[in-house]
Amino acid sequence: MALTLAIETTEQVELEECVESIAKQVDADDFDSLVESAVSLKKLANNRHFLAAHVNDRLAQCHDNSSADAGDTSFLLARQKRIWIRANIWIPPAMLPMNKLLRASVSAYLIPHDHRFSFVTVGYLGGGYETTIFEYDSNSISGYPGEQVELRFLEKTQLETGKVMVYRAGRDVHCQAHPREFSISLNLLTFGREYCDQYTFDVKRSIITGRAQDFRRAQAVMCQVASRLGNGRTANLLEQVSRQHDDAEIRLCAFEAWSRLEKSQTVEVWKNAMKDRSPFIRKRALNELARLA
Amino acid sequence: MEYFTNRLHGKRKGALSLAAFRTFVDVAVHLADIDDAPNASFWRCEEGFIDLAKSGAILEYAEQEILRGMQIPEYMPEFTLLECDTFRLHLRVVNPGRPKATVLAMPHHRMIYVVEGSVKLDKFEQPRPDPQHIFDPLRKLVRRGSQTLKRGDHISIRALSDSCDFSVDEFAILLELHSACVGRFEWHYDLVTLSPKWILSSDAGEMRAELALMTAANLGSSDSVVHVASLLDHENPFVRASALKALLRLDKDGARACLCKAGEAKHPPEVRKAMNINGAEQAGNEWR
Repeated sequence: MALTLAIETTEQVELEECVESIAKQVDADDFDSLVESAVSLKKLANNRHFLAAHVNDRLAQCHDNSSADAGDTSFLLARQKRIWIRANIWIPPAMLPMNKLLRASVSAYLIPHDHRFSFVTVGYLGGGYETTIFEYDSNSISGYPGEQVELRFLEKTQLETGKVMVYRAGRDVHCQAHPREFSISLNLLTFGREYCDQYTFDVKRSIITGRAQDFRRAQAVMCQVASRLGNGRTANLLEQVSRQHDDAEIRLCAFEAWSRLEKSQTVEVWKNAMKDRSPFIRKRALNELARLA
Repeated sequence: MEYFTNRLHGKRKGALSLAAFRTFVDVAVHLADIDDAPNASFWRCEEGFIDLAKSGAILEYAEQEILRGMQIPEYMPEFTLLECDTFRLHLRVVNPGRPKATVLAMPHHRMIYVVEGSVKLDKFEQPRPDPQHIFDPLRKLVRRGSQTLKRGDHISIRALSDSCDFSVDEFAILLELHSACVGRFEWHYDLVTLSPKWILSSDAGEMRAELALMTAANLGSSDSVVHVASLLDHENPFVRASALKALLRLDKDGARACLCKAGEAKHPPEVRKAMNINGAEQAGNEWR
């Protein structure tokens, strides 16, 4: 699949019209509807005034510090439930004030990564960033660091002004270079109902290097905390999590925490884990029981 | 309590459903009400903070978050337990890791209680924290020895002056109480040379203003001139300097008049920027 979309319209719309059209057209769970809406974002990108007006509004709010819808590098233009429109700012490191250099040097976009949302992007200003794109099948992986992944090279390109591209959640992997000049892109993001992990990759070795901070890791830390401080009540809770949680990784963390908390019951805990529906957990339980034998 | 929860508007307050946290909040509110000096009440919260840390509330909170994780798919537990305009309460876990290269002096006071495990602290002091907004590579840290904190121990760390490098051999659980910011910058020091490496603004408003100014300058709309010019009087000198830079892109003639005024400013980066701009202008260079 080509990730660059050829859209030639010169028509332009205001932000409100674009938001209205996208709200009617886009289903956040339907990738095809996102692709069809790319023309709406392109029409917005043809409007050379709306973003300056938006930025002027933000400047007017700078005195009272109330502009909460902008981060370090983006402006949120509209948000309707699981559909967002934002303007991303790409700044060459040499143009950053001294106190921002650190942020540039550790910019996450330099590391090959995929996204947990699908999005259409249009170059709005400047030469844009250079990006090298690969694809992989997230359904074929377990997701642990060091796992070998089949990465297929798609293209190396530049998001210059007017160019339209689409990225698929959990499918497209890209690494970006710093832009050579100040650049802006418009993004239309859709967050599907189905949760999708975000990974970082080593594209030379074709392996997963890490997973973005997510609910699993945070819940696992809470299980670790509970295992260090807990009591009988906590053990019951961890047992419940190990049996009932939908997510296999969190069930495994609960088994680990439960066995740590009730050391005298360790063998019983891992015997319970042998009945889990996840082969990954059963394999781990087998290893633990062999170690304890 | 109502007064306090109003001040928690839109911020983290998930732990308030537990009695021990509400008791702590009552103490904090009482102390804040009897003291007018900014942040002075923070240190008086020490006893209440230690009582909270000893109370078993952390376990209750962890259990509550684990239960929520069962009830809500993809629930993201909160590690900031309470947040208001006068303090933030954090649960922090520390794992063994590689030695760090940098130690930070934070812009807020901190109290840290070791709930579980033990933590080795290498302590440092910045004898001259002011002026904190002017980066000076010669203002090195001074070593103040090491200390091991065990379960039940606590330590107070002053904003800007004190820095600590934490390391652990095993998983440790800390409860941290942070004051409101008393400074605007995080100073990052090299752990080997103890020299400052860089300073980062802790002011999200400043970063947003700089981003908006830089964007306006590059979009080049004449409608932006009035909005950019209004920030030449902003209280933050870095924002003023960025506004001046943006204005010169948008309205060179209008900006030139402001350069003289900026050249007399008290803030060195602002003066330096004005002088550089002036020099470039006189040399006929295109300034970016």
